[in-house]
Amino acid sequence: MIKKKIAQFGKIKNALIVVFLLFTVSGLVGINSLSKVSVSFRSIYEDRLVPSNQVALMSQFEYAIKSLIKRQILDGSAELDETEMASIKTYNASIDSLQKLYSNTFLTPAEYEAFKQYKVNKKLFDDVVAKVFSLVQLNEPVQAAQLFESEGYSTFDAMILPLQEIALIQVKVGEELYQSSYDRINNVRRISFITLGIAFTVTLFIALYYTFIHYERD
Amino acid sequence: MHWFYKNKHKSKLSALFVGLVVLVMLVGIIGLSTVGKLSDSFKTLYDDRLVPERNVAKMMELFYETEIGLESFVYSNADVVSPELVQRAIAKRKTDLNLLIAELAETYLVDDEKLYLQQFKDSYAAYKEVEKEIIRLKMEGKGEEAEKMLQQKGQESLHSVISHLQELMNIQLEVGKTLYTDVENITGNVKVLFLVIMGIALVSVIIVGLYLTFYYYE
Repeated sequence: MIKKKIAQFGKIKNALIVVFLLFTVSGLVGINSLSKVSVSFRSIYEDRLVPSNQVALMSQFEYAIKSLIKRQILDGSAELDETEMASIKTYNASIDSLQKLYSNTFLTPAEYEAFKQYKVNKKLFDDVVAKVFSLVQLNEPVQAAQLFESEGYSTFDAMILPLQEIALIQVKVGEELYQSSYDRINNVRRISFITLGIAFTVTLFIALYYTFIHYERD
Repeated sequence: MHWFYKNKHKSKLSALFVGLVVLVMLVGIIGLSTVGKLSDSFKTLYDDRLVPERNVAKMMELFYETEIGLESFVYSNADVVSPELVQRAIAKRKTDLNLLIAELAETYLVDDEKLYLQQFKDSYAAYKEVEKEIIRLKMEGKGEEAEKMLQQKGQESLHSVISHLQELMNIQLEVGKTLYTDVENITGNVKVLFLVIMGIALVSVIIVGLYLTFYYYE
């Protein structure tokens, strides 16, 4: 009789340990998945959405600079318009700040390469712009316009292209992150279902065990 | 407590397990509902913020591109830049913009976004009229009037269009940040729920273990 009691106690103890372990494992897996989901979300926001805005602003300012230079040349005057020159300087200063902010975000290798290319091409564009302004000051508006419309336009397009590539990368990487996080969220959902299932099944099993098997004892 | 002493151990154990299962299921259901919100947040951050951010940036580029073309037309001779060339570029921009606006309108728009989108559409309509007028003046040989209009009304209306697009871009960031904060809270809450389930399991195991130990000891 004592041996039987000890055996019953052992079974219940083992069942309880199994229940506890199942809850603990599913809980830990769930917490781990959620931490990864949280990291992914932060990454979509901080490393995709915010940089996407920064890149869009850089592109916008580059276009604004191109437009101002164009106006400066078309003006036909040998004097550079101080207000417009100041605007170009402000835009360039803003681009510098945005470049610094952007380079502090997480860059994928493709993004890093595209950004490097943009900086190299921007330098080429800036060099052409400096030559164009020199020609304007030398009262050579036709030559200045020709240089800007040939070399200026081609270096500008080469500079904008990597920014457009970066913008596409943001969306592509964002989509990958979204997809992987969606899978992780589904895992958390499955774990929650499993936890509920375990709770229900084990409780039912033990309750039935006590109700029917030990009915005679009471 | 009277009920506890009066009833036999099978009833007490059954009641304890039923209580446990109700508690775990309650926590699990809350967890599942919260995880569902998490999934929605991911979807909206990608579909309604990251992708529209890129589309708005594209819209800006389209405006700058045609603006530079228009400037070239106004300040050059008609044989250098033909009016057909400018009109073709404007027609292409219209097609591209219509697609991008339709895509943007299909996403989830917050109230401010709806407002800025409408304001953008209005300013775009006004800008188109100004563009038409500039081209008409130039084609009628009123070059100086066209230049004046481009420099004043043209710049003002372009600025209005760009500033509304800028507002639309800023909203993506603002709403993205709110979503990010929400997700941080949600993941934190679900983690707590998992810890609660693990805690319930541990406490129940201890209580039932102790109960059985004393019962069988007797």
